[in-house]
Amino acid sequence: MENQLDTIAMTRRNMRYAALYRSVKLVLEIGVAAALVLLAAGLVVNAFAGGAAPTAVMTLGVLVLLATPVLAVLVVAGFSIRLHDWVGLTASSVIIGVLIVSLVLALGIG
Amino acid sequence: MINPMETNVWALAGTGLLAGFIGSLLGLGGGIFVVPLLTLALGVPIQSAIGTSLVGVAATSSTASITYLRERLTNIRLAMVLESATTMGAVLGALLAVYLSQTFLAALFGCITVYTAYNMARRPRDKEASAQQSGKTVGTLTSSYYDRSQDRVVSYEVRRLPAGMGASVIAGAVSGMLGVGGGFIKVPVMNLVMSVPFKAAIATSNLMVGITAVASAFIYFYRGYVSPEVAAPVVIGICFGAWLGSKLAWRASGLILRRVFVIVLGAIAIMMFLKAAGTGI
Repeated sequence: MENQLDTIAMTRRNMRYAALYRSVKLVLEIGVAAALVLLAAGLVVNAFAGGAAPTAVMTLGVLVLLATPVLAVLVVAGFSIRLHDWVGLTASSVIIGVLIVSLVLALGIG
Repeated sequence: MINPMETNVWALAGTGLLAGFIGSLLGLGGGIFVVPLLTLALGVPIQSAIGTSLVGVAATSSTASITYLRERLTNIRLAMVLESATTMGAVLGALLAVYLSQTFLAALFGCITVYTAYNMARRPRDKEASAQQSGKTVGTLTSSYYDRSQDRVVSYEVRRLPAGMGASVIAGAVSGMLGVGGGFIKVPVMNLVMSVPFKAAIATSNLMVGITAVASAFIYFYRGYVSPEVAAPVVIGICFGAWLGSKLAWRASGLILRRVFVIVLGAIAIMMFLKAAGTGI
């Protein structure tokens, strides 16, 4: 009986880990696709019309690309809470913290 | 700063395509090719080339990680633990880089290129054979994956975490200073020191390099070293080149690829040393 309960618990945990892999993959897929569309659209418009608008679109594309791995880390942090994975939560929190510091430093001295 | 009007869009896209193609064929992010190509061939200042390359590394990392995550090759927990050290190194490296001279950065890039060429020149069998099986294991980071080529599940334990964390800080600093992913440091350390199988090390490193690149890319971006007009064609070229390379990679001979890689890196190293010496190309 105890073994069966262990097996069920392991299966549930594995299913949650599978969901983590699927979620991180989905975030990356959406992020890369959105960034590429924005960058390509900006380049095409820039080639024919020029001006500030296409540059703004391309800048948005770069920012979406840079935000994509950050979102992936946030997804890992969220799943770590659900999985009671304190090692994963601590590590992903440190990464998010350092990325925030990086952003603050960049804004402060940029 | 770059004046995008002076830089041909097609030349930039071609640079990205070449870097993405070669990088994908040889299992690298492509940053190690983007910086010298932009600097030496197109005359882009090295800090701007590094900033653009970091955006490209984020693109290739995210693109390649999609495949590795589908195959469950990536050890997400290990990636997060090591990355917590790498991001700190990356921020320090990026802060340092803007105060360093172009000569120093070019010379450092040359040294790193020589180191990478040396590592790649060694036979892969040597790496597998010398993988250390001693050292304390970290049970919480244990993982497994299905190896298609061997048709079996490979389970492994992670060893020597403190050494891996130390190497991760160094890899992050190098990445922040030079605009490369740092995978050429992380993969050998994970494989040789931490006993992570080569395929899992490549996949895990791939997820990490994108996060590392972002940590320092913010600093380059807000200092004006990432021009969207330059980054857009380079990134699109990199993604297309990486996709093309991944389609051809399985057909090419590993040994020939490895030799081509060493020759290309040797040439890049010589050019970067000449640039550092003020001779130029």
